[in-house]
Amino acid sequence: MEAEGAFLGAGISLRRRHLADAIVHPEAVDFVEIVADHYFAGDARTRNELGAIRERFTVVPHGLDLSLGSAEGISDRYVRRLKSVIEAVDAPYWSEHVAFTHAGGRHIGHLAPLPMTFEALDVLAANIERVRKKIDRPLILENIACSFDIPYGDMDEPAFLANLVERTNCGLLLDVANLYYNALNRGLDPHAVLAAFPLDAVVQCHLAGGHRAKGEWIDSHAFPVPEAVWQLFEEVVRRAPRLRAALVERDENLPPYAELAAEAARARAIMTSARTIAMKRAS
Amino acid sequence: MTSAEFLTFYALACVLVLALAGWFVRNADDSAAAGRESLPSDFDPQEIAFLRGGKNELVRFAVFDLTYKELLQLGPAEKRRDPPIQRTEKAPGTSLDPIESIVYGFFDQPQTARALFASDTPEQVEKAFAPREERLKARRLLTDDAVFAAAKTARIVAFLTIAGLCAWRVSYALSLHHRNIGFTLLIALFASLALLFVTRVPRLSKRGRAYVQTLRAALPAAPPALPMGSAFAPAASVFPVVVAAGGMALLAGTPYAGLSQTFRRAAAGDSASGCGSGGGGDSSSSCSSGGGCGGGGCGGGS
Repeated sequence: MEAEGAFLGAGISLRRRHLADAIVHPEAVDFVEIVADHYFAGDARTRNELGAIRERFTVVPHGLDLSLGSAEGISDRYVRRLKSVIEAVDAPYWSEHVAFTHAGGRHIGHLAPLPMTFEALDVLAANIERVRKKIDRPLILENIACSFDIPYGDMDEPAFLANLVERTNCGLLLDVANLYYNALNRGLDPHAVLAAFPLDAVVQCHLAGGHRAKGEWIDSHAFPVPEAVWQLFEEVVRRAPRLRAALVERDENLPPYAELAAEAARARAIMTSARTIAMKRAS
Repeated sequence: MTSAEFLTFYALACVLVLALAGWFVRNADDSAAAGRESLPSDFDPQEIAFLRGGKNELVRFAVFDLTYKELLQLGPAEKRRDPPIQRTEKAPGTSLDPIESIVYGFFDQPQTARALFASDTPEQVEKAFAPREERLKARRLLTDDAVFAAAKTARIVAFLTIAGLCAWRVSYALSLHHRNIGFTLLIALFASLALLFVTRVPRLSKRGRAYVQTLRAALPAAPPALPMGSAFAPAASVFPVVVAAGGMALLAGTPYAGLSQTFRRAAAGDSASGCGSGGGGDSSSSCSSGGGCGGGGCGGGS
């Protein structure tokens, strides 16, 4: 499977407001994820910023708008810009969402869920194949937040992702918070959903905290990782043999860098503990 | 050759000489071949401030840093335009480095920023910083003496060419009792002034300018400023490094905004005299207290 490799550890999704802290105190995290789209400008300042981040950290670019699920295909221009960022930071791998953000020539401005159908799998596989011809770094695919099932699906999400992994050989980026809030919104047991998830393919995890609004859980990335998500993560760590990285995401209500780093440290401790136990068992 | 033809030829020749002189000076700086300067494991904010804006920026940063350490404070403005900077009750102990000691020593009595820059404190600070300046030169972040020498040579050769052509034309015209030499002299004058401009040597080498640009990109302030006490502000230990990289303008909206204003007023108050020593403007950077060295603007000799 692609994107398998050395243990990266625990990181954060790096936002510009934490950049100075991260550059001065890089020891607090093992790696960072950047939103690739934020660095598409390609001007001198952006190049310098990317260069500095690359100098300090292992960097995993995260795409937002590739729209792998678009039946109309993907933008070559977007792929070129994505590639330039991925190469600038010498990324070990990169990630995108199992979703679409463009349809009928229009930009939706949101990660929209795909129907869990074989037809959608065909579209995803074709688009991923097309991207691979341009970007040679391994791609991992993330489950998105969605509070309902699109009707007339051929399978559920875990089966859909398992099929996708089998067809594309991509690793998975499991957003534990998405899985948790999706399950709550559908009235399901998160642990049961996790049990069906293709954990063998999980390479990286996202951890975040959301909130409840108008009776619905929203993965807003605005709060600390809740205990329930930590518990799910511990289960993932025990059962995902290819897991090499986990990171804490925060996009709103940004805390001081030290708080994010503390959450990353907790993720690291959980992964290190599980690895130690696994190594002892193996020996 | 008619007079008009000669003037066209002379003007083109001057442009060519200026272009060659500029090219020669720019290419004399081969510091970029040494590769990109890595980010340090431990940032030295004084070094960053000096790189950005020379000795006066270093002095400004030292005042800020002493204020940040609660050893100095901005006094009440009252009716005076510039509020004085004065010591606090806190004792400095033995924690001051040589640069801080010099600046702290100046404020044994409350003094304005204008008085600070009118004193010999910037020169004392520069002298104390000299060993570190040598290290910056060794890292090829400051322009080599060889580049200054190359610029001097280019200036002399180019000036002799411009003046020589002018002298030949003037003597030829005068020998024919012609008096139409005004345009020739005017072109020579403009070309000579332009020569000083195109052969000026920036204080920072190409490598140094690239390094400063990287520092500014890597250590950004949270937009629009740095609201202290909020999550957007860098950690306490990081804040001085960010200010060193971004300049005093970043203090706007923070409890230290008064410092930024007093430095700016001190510089503006002296602008009539070309932003000289009195106001804290630095000929090696810009005259503002905040802007400092941007893209490649750290020009001028230090």
